[in-house]
Amino acid sequence: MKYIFLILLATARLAHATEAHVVHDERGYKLQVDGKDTLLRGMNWGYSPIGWNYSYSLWSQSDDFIERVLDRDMGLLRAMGVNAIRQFPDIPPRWVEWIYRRYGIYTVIDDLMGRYGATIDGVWIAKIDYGDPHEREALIDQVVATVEKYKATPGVAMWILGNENNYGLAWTSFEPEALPGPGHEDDARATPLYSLYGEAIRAIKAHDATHPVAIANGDLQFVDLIAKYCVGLDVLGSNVYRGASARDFFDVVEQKLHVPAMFTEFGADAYDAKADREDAVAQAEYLRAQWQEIYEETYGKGRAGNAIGGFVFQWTDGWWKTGQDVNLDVHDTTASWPNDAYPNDFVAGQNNMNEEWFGIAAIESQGADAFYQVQPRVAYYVLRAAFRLDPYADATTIDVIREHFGALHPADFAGEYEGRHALAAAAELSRIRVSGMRMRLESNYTRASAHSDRYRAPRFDHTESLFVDLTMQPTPKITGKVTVSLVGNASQNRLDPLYWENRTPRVIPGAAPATIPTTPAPASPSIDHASIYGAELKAQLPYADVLGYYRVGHTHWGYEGDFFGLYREAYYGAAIDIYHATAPLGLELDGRGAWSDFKLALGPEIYWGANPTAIAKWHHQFKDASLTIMHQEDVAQRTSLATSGTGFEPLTRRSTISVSVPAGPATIDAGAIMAAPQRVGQRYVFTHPASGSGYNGSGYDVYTGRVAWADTLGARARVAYDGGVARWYVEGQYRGLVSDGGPDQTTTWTGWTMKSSGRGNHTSVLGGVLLTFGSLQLAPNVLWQKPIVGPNPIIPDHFDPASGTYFPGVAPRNTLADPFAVLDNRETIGGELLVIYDPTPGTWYWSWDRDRREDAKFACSLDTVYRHQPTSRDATLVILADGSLVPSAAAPPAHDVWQSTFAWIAAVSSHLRLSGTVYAGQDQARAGDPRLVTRGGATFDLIRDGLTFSTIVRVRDWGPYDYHRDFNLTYPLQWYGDLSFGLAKAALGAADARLGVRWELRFLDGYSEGYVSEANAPAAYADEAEALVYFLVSI
Amino acid sequence: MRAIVFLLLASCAADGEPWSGGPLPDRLALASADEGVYPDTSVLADPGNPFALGAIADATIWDVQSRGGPVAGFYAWSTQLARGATGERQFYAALDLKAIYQLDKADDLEAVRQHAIRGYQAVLDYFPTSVTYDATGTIAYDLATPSVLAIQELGGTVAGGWVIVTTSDGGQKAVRR
Repeated sequence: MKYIFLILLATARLAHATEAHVVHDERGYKLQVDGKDTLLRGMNWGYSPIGWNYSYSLWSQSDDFIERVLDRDMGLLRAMGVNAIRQFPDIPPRWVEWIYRRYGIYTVIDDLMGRYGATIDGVWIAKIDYGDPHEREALIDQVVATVEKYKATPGVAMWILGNENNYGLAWTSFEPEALPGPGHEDDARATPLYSLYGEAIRAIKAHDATHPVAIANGDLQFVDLIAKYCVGLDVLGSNVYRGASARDFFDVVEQKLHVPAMFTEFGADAYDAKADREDAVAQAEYLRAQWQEIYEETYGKGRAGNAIGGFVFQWTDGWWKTGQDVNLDVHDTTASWPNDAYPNDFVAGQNNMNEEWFGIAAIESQGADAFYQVQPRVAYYVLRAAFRLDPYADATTIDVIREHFGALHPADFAGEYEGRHALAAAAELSRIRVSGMRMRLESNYTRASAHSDRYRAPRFDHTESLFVDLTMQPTPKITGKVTVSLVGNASQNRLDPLYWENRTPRVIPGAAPATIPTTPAPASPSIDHASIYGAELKAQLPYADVLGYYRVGHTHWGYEGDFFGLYREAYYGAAIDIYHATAPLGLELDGRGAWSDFKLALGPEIYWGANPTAIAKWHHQFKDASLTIMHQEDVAQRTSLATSGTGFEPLTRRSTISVSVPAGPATIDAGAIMAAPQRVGQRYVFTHPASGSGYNGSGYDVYTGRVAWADTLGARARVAYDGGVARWYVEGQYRGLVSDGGPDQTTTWTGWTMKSSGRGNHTSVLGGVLLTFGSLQLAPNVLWQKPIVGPNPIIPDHFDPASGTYFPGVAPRNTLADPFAVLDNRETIGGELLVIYDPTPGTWYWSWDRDRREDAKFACSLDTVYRHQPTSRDATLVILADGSLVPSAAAPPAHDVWQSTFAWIAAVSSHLRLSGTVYAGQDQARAGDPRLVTRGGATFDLIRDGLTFSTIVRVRDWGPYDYHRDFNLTYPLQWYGDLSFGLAKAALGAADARLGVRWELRFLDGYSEGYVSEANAPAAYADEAEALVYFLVSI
Repeated sequence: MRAIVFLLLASCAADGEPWSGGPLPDRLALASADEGVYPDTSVLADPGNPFALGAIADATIWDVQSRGGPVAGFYAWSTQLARGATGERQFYAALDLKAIYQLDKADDLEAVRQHAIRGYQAVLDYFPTSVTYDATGTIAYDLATPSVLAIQELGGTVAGGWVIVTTSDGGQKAVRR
């Protein structure tokens, strides 16, 4: 009966919203929560799986998964003595209540006040202007909305505003940087921030009088502005990284603010940057000392008396912190900022704060479902013992505190962590290990009708393929990985015969003695049964991070000053496997410390089609503007290509300089390029329409020109204006005949597909406007582009034996033999209209992996591009069956083209994601066949837990390979499909066991590859079909 | 902006040497030691080559070969060889070098003789299974055999293990030992 009464009493208490307030008398300050003196033994808690970054949301996962995570983490935290966690307003109120009811842990809700951007009027604003009245009003409205959302929720203990927003006034990115020094104290931009806080405090109190309001300041910077503007502030919260002692922190708060103080973040990392090893004992010692100081500064201990607790930063390591978007599956040991308050690993002039190692628990052994194991570090056990002391007990004097904490020696607690960690990490610490394996077994059935040249091919065949990942880690800062491909048999009757396992040697003229095929290929070609599939090297050297790659993608440098696209990204997906390319193959060095402005990339083929080359970049960020200088030097000429789709580059040398300068809401980029001085003096042929009959009666006058120095120069300028609802950009280029750069791989405002060429020999103007109406965006985009020297027509040569006179012919230029050519820089007047519906702007709709990342229930876009092309272009390089690279005999004629694509994605639930496209258009083949192709099609993809379904239908479209478009090989109908079921949700790199079936069906006509026409049935269609069953196991 | 305007003016006013027809050369002056021998492509930069910048039609090259003289033929075939390597192009470039030597169409005939031998040897080394066709385009002739015979006729030594054997019908055929 007694217990029933207690349960009823507890339930009655828990049914109401939590109330908290600060009490103050001459002995100091205390926080009372539901009437009880409470020291906030808090934790910055979050859940970020390995391989993900800030984009991951635990709260969008299934309830079962969330409960599994919370039961594990909150159980550990409660056992440790933690009584509060700090959360942002994305946590659903029901989970706040759940945590409180089940584990008695309070939640403080932290509204970031636009620290990392905010959506205002449906438009994502990345950098908030705290002085803008409209943006201030919107942030106040959002804070009030947050308060209304949570104030009645049991378990909510306090409101916090911001997260060291004062540092955001000086830092250039969202990554932690060195703490701003005294030079920023008078920063005029700080006043609007703190006056906004003041307004927010008063707005909160008008809506809720039962929870105190704090701010999360960056240390005590601008403390006088806080005193002046943050009237009504209940608690000064501060992110403090002052090492073992906060020194005068509590005294200053009392003297200047007269409010209690708490650390919203504090702690130490568990990595010794000097010794280059994990040091969980040192982390524990810092935290022990920090908590001892908090206890000593609490109410009634004879010191400042104003400490009410703190939130340890943080629960688990964040593997995404360094770089934030890259190396998400690497526990990076890069120290990203210096702090001499942590002397154990501080060396003057070097960084010592390891942002990815701040967890008091390590994470490891993550499963395919993104649930990882946690391994509490030494600090966990030390604080678990420390928290047993009640600071507000009558017997707890300052001497008792000192005795209690003085008896806690972190080294005594190290055994438990190290023992558990050693067992868990034993396999991981092996210097060489098999880190992954993928086995794929396929059996396929292929049939074709009589009008296909595959008609007599064998019908059944099979493929066995095994990939083994070998990882070597001689030191924590060097990791090498090699993927070996082993093939048993490679099917020889596939409809699409170019695939990775079917790797018969190709014969390239010049690379080896060549033969011209005169006999059919042998029935069972020799397969390379073992091959290196890919390799990767990562090393952290004292002055640079090194990334070596072979068939491993890398990003471009377009967002860090590469205004002319010299260093192209290399993510080619499955195409790499199709063509057995050796690219990308190279090395990237990213400077550190004093060399952090420098980057270098070099290698035999650092992106598809690249010559052996080296590219160096110096990029310096001044206060707001940046300056970039780059140089590229090709060291040899590539003589072959895997596919015509990558383009061929003559030997070149390039230098660029560019600046990026903000001007209010606009950004101005401008730069100049000098390229290919090696081609100065080279001859080229050009033509003009003749007034008379012209050269040899062709109607053209024909001339020989020579490349001049001025032809190596080019310039580009762009203005991008952020007007919130209306964002626009305009850019112009003048590019001399041979001033080739690379394509623009950046995205300005939205995902427009039409861009001006990065090639030389053209002048262009490009501009677009992005209009946002809530979730709907309208984005027109226009292009005018014209080559300086136009394409060459075909003029046949002529030899008159009687007179012995010869008239040379004229052919379209090509990049193999001529110093320049008109290709994607052809004359174009283009218009594009992009319409987007995305209820979550500022997220992932334009990410390459949006199928996996986009969080909207439904988002879609319709993109229509029309190109008026009044003149022809020059010749494309094509690859013949023997691998030789030759120019096409003709060039695409003048003709307009268009393409319209509707794309959509639906994240129906955490279990079900759907996406697809529908497209139609009219386009040209590349190698000169004048037949215009009017085509259409659709794709559909479904992922439901372990089930995946993917299908593509193409109508009157080109076949799957580049050469199909080169030579204008189309099919009346193509249908591809893949249905598979696995143990886990299909995800890149995840362990899985998957059984699936793939199919292809296509009809052939006279324009299709392999069509066999017959005189008695010239109009008959042929058909080809393939069904393939596969079993895939990966670990 | 001023610089951009200058560049625009500078390049838009691209001047050039106008084309017109002209006589084909009748004397050979080799511009490099391996001109016309695969994989050398220096013929494309030879100022004496009338075909270097222009496009040569398949029909024209046979016209030049039959009625333009061996020097013009050599330049035509060498140019095409540099633009796209085939055994047939290498063979005819060597054949024209041999004719230049025999018809005294160059100043340094000994150099031309050596050059012709290297051209035929390139057929054997790089294009050993290449063929050429008759005028109907249906009957193929292998190029290795006449290449071996030509090297022997020019007093050279055939490399690569090639020998001439007699076939069952009494003909000759080059084979590699």
